[in-house]
Amino acid sequence: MIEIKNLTKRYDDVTALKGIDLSVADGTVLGLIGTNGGGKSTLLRLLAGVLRPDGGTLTIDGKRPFNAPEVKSQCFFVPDFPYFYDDSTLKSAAALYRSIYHGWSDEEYERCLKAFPLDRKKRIINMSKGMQRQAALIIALATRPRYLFLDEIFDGLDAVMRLKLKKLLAERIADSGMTVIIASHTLRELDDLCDRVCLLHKGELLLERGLDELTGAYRRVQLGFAEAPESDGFLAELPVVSCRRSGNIYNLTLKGGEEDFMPIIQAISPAYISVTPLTLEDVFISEMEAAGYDAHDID
Amino acid sequence: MTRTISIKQTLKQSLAVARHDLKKCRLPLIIFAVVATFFTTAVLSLALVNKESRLQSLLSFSRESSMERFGSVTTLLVFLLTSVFALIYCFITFSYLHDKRKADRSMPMPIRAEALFLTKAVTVLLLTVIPSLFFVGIINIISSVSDTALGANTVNFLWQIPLGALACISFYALMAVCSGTKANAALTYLAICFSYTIAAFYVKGMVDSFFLGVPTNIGGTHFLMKALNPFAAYDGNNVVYWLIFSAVCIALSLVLLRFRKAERAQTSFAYRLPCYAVEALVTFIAGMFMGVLFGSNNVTGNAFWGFVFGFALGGATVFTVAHAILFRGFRGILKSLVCFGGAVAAGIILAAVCCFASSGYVSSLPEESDVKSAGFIEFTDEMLRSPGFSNVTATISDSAEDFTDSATIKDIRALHDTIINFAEKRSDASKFSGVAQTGLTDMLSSVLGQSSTHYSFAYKLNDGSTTSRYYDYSAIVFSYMLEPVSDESRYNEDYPAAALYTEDITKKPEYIKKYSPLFWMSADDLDSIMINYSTVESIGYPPDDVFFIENKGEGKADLQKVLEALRADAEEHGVNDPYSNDDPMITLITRDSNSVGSGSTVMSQTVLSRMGGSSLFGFDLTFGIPSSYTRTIDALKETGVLTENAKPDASSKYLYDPFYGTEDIY
Repeated sequence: MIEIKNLTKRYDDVTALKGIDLSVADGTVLGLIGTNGGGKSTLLRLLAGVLRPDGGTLTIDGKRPFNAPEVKSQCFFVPDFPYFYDDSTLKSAAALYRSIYHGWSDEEYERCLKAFPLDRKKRIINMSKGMQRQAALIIALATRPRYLFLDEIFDGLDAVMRLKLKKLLAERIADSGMTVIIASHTLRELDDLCDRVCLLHKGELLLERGLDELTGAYRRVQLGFAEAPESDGFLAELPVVSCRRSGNIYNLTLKGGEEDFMPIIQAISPAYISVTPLTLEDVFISEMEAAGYDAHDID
Repeated sequence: MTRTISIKQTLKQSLAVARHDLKKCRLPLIIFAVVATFFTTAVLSLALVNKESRLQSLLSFSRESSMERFGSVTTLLVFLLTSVFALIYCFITFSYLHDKRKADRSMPMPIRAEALFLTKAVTVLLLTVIPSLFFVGIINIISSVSDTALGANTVNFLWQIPLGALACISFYALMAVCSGTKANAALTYLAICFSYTIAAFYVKGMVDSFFLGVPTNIGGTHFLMKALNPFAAYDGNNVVYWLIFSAVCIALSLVLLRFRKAERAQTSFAYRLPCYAVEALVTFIAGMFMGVLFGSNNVTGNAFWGFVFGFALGGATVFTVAHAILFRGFRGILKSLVCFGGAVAAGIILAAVCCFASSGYVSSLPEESDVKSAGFIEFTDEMLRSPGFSNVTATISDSAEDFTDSATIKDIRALHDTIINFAEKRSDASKFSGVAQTGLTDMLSSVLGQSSTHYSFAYKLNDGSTTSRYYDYSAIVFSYMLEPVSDESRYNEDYPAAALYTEDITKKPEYIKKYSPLFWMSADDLDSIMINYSTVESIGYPPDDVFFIENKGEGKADLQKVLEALRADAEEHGVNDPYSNDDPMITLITRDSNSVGSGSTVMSQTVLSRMGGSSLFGFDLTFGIPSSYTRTIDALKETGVLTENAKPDASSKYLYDPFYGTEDIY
């Protein structure tokens, strides 16, 4: 169980995280999404014990991870740029981590190697970006962590490998109840994998919700009018998250179920109405627009 | 549901990290091995072809010279290699504290930060020490098997290398914890090591030049001059200090590590103390350089204010540049201004004290009526390097009771007064000029092992107190004006200020018995003695009648006999100067092991002095054997060097074979 209360982290003059409150139950797959510089990687580094919080508390199984080997032995962090020494091979890296993590499993190592067939004697730094991530993942999963922190893990992986990774993680979660926290900009992958999602922007936690709850809580609505309404006043009655108008067409993102807004929409008699559920990416863009981080705002 | 990490598990983890670091340093290790193998092979080759003793090489007619020098240099270069490679290993191994990617890899590992840090420090120490000792061991074996002097000092290396490496690595570790980048760690490490020593030389130069007579040069360079330069630990001196220094560095590193924020990786500094120290030191050095330059040239019409102007100018420039380098810009320069201010204040206070408060000290000479007893010592290089005179301060203090007769006290005062008269005539500008000169001489002396004569005066006063002064002849301002002469007849009118005629005192039997190496050296200190019946002019040519009595086997007793006879004659007739007449010569040759210290200083001294042809391993003293030295002549007859009618005995077992080793000469 991960408990985060009022967590704050500063880098000199910059506050990377501002009073974050979060609770992650065991066996959860939590997706960290957010803008660039939103604080995702900082949160993962705090969880991994790389960084020390400046304020608030962060505990894993009731203990703070910073400089706490007993906590860290349950966790594994795969950073956005996994680091390997120049002459490291998968074999030599495995030898190192085997001695360091008491949870290391050769069986798991071999199983992961089957899923990600890499040459274990080849220098890792000579491998492609995606293969380096696979190497890091093999090591990570072979340590059988209870908490796995992944930063931009899908970056560089091809579609097949992404699928394999998701499958492997799903199996491990089912088998051992592993908790996974993934920071990623690849929202489509998180859509398939995560139970819950956190949205971070400028160091603040904008929302934290179950994925179904999140995507189910929004609808993309397109309204077409034969004659444009004289004013946008009708929008005030709707739970609008974002709105974009193009002539007589309104593209709206609305909060809530159809039962909440359809009566209002029907009352203004549009020529046609199209209602579709949102993807995670849609939710992200909408929320970011609401937070003033507008993708359409390009001058 | 967390699990406690046992000590056994921690050790296992540490070993794994150490093994991994070892692999990471494989390339520099291979380079070290290649370089060391090259030099070891060179030593081996030279040792096999160069079996002549140092005794023979002293005559400079053997094949020694360049080959032996190269062999010695090679042996001692192990310190240089060790220092350089220790820095390389530190740079690589401690980079996990600086590189963000490496921090992301190392910090999440389930090892306590302190354990990880200590593991890395120990790994670097072993990486540095084991290969060096391995090669020193090989050189030792070569040396003993081939019976050459190449490895005479290398036995000491077995503890000097670990001590030096420990001090250097501990200090680097501290700098690494305090720094945010690898470059800053290495930069602060090197900057503090060297700038501290240079700054200390400047302070000493000021004191020496202004407070002429202050005993700052006693016994070579004081350890305080190198207190923050762990390279000096390779000398093997002040072992306890360097052990404490290392322990403090490691302990401080561990404490700072606890509070260090990992995100300091890739920022300039985690803790600013080293950077402030570097800024203050380089400001001080540059300030002193310019201050002394401007002061000695009376730039503002006044030496002191010229110094102040120069100090501020030089200090401000270098401070600004140093800050820009250390912080990659001018951020935080206002905070650093305190270092600049501190350095400027220190420089100006030092100069003010020197300019306005030194004259009383310099001109102080006790009244004759107040003096109960007095002493004068002409320190030679051999004395300063002798273990018997290691506590020079005490020797000087004790010398205050050497002479109680009023005539000698008068002579001593007169000699001292000559120096004081000269010293009082110097302007502040010339004193500033002396700072640069004495500072440079000191630095060169410490590096090159240049030696010079030192004079001490000590007075026991009627009130029971003792006062003393110590003058370094190497101070160039001093030597320009005062010419020591060994004979009154050689008084040189070209030196109008004064001449230092010291022999009134140094030829006294009491003085000779107490301060001549002939008396304070024991027979065990000697490697051999050489008796040369050639004349002074024949030195450097193949000898005709040269005898060697080596301090081993049956020669041991003969050497002792000749030495005792020589002492008795010298005590009665005074020490004979071999260069002022054509008397036969007797040369006492000390063992190599008499060399004081070793390590970095001796390395550089030896390298350079050997290149220049002199020897610092031991030394040799030559005396003339006049006909009045009857005891010595009798002893030489008894040992078979001379025939009954006091002629060189061509059948003596000690006669040197002139055909041996001379083929390269002709």
